Amino acid sequence: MRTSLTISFAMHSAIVVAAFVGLPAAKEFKVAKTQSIDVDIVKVSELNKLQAKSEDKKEPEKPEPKLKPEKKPEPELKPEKKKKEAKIAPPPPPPPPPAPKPPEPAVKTPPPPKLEKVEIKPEAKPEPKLEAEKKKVKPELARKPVPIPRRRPKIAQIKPKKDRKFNPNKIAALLNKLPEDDKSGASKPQKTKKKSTARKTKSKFSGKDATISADEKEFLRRQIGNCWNTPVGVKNAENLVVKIKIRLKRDGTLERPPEILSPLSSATYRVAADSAVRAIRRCGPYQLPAKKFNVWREIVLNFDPREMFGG
Amino acid sequence: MNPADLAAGTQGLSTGNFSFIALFLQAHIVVKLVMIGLVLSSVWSWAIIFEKAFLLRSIRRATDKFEQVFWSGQSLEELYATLSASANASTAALFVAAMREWKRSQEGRSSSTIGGLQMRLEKVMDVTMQKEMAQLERRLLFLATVGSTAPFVGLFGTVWGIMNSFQAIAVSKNTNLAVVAPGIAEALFATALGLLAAVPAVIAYNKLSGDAAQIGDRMEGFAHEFSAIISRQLDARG
Repeated sequence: MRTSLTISFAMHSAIVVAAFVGLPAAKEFKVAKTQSIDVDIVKVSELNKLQAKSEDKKEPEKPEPKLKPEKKPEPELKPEKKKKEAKIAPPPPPPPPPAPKPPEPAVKTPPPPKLEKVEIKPEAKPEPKLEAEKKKVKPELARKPVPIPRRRPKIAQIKPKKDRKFNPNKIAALLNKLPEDDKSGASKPQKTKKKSTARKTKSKFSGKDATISADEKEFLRRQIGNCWNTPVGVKNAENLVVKIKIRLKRDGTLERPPEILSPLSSATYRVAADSAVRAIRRCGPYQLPAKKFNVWREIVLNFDPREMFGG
Repeated sequence: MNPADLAAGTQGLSTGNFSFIALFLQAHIVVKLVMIGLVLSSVWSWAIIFEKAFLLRSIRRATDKFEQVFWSGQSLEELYATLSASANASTAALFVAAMREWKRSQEGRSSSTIGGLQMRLEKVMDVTMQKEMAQLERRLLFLATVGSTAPFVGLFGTVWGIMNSFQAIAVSKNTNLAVVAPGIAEALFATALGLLAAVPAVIAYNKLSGDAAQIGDRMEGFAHEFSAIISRQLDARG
């Protein structure tokens, strides 16, 4: 019996050793990298930005030569921006031609100007021209489009620095995405079709359908996002998606306190939820199309730090 | 529990390796015990398999040899003289036991009837056969037990491990596969071990018990033939 026991034992240990040495450790599944980014990650906010950006880009291409001399109005805008942007975009370039560059990246998302400079240089150039053109025609309107109102409150807030400290990665990620999209041309058809409508509805809410459109929802979200101090210094803040239900009165004020729909699972989550509630309270009366009061009277908002950072 | 911490934990896990050793080391203590038990039972059942395989082979060879000699026409007395000195198995043991009894009754010269002597011889051979069979089938039952219970034991380990995984989901409120996968992999490893122990045990049990029954049949046949021979001898003498 002893011999067979030793034989058996030796066999088992040999098998274990063989399994340890010979059998490969679990391998990762190599999933072929598809370009799924184009399909599933583009959200309304990003789409809007894309459209806004592509519009900026596209229009000036033709008038390029004509507009070159018309850079004079540029400086008007610049000082104004520079005052606000002084900290954000430290290089306040004195010569007119390069000057427009820094403010433009700052408009989109202040923190990573370097990235912007490197990647989008060719694209960024035409933009000032467009601004110049617009200003020439309607100086006020040109400045209104979405980005600027967004930026203002942020600067008005006392701690934009914290925001900036926290953001860069996400914004960089977003920015990385945008140029890619532009290059791939995936968004080009959208540009041409939606350019005009998308822009207008954003400001005027001219939609006739009974449901609240994505643009309007996005607009509301931006209004709130301006007031929202995202939870800073929380690990994995991007996972803290807060769902909040609000009821609005006809004049855009809150009818009752916001209601947190998602369960408060942890302390950090509570912090995030509280910050969202505060943002809703602070941003006061919301501008929404009065026609559709029935639709937006009760809205469920998703507070997703990723989106807010990106937007 | 902070989801962030947990995510970090699973991150660390997913970078670790998932070899068999790692799976074993990461397992819950209950699952570990199950695995150890299964491995030990596998070792023991293989020991039994080897032992029985050797034993049966040698017995079969010895039986062949003995029968060859027995039917070669050699004198039974001589055969008994050569065999009684050494230990014997199966048919040889039967023959030796019967001859010993025969000799004893011859020497005693007690007033025994022929029928009584024959009955005694058969009894002796019966007892010897039972002893031999008991020795052949010793521990085979363990194989049967392992074969039938090891899968269940392994399944128990798996169920326990999966239970833990689901508890992990519940605690972390995170259904990410990375939270669940390690636990399930460990758990399934237990079932794999159970099957690994059970399958050879079942096969070997069937094979070995069949072989043992065959040898038993052979012994029985020999006993009948031998008692027939003896009865003929007694009749001729009587």
